[in-house]
Amino acid sequence: MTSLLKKSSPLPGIAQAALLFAGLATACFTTTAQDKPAPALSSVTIAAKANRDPVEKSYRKMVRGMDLFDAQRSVSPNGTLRFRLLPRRPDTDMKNIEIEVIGSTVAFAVAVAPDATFTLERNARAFDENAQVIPNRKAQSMTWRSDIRTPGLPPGTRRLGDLRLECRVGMEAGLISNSSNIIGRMTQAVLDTPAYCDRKAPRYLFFADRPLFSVALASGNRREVLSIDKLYAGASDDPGLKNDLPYCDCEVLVDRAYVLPLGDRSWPDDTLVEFEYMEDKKP
Amino acid sequence: MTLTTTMSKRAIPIFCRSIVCAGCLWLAGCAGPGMFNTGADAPPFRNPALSMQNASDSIVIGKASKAEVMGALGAATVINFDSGFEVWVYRAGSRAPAETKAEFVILFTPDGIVKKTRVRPAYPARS
Repeated sequence: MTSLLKKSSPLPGIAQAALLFAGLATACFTTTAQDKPAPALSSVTIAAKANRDPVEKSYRKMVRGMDLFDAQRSVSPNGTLRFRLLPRRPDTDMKNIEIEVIGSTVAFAVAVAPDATFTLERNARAFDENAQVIPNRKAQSMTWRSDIRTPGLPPGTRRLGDLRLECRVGMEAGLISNSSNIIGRMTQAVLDTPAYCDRKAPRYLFFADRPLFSVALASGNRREVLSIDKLYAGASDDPGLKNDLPYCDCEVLVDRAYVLPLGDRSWPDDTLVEFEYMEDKKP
Repeated sequence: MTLTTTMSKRAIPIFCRSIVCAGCLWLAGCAGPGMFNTGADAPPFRNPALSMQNASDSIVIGKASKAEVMGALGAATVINFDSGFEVWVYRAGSRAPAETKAEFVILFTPDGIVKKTRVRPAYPARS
């Protein structure tokens, strides 16, 4: 978009003079420094974590997510829990992903389905060793979600109770990693608890299987279509979204993203979430 | 895929003028309360008398172009996707909470033709 700001005004005379003086002083110092031979400097080793936001996740946390799923089965009595990998970059190859759980003395492979979902086996040693769940993909190339589905639902629908539990398991398992700056991480530390999902309108992003046109809630005779701000990561009300996208794990999934009134208990767990997609499935 | 929320080129100067006008209205409001009716909502369409359903009925799916829709209904909030699809939104009650607003939503194909439309009714606010 065309910039609405004028170019900055010229510096006042005093500031210009100060800058000129500083420039001359720097030039003199540089000339003097170059005349003398440089003293030998001791080598310095700079250590830094190469991967501050790795694509891998904590096995221990993911098992705790599985524990929470078991403890709250009443929300999704017939649902099954899987974990799902989703692309975070346009060029992420989502085929033939391999995952390993690696601890200090234990390592085992995890079978990944063609739809990029998987389950984790329980392994006490991996839990004790705080093993990592590591896919063979670069950091920031994928994101993670829990995936809880009740079989036998009508096509193009999900069950609200399953999605409520997805949110809680996802938070407990530490699957969401949106922010890269320190303030974002601090904020996230406060929000990354299952209790966040019980807020009336949490901003927990779900991703539909295909680009969305509409999402509706239906329970008995009551049916309500979600407002547009609940779709597309709030793009309708956020002109600055494009700048924020690199910090959102929805970056390449915006047309599939939606949020739900998870904490609104006027919608029971059996409520159906109905999807209308941009493109209808060809028969 | 990335996304941008855009306004039409024509809408940018209008947007700038709107900001200036909004500032003037705000100042005027400070100077003399009651001079302007700031509580009124802007109608969602160019024709203020047009209802959401009338607007929906006026759009021919599979035929209407962006220019034709713009001409018939006026400027919308536009969400465009890297896939080429574009969503236009007309919302009633700009001062109301989003959940309670009626909406008319149009989906354009990458070719710029209306593929789908939908009307979301206004729902009562829930405490």
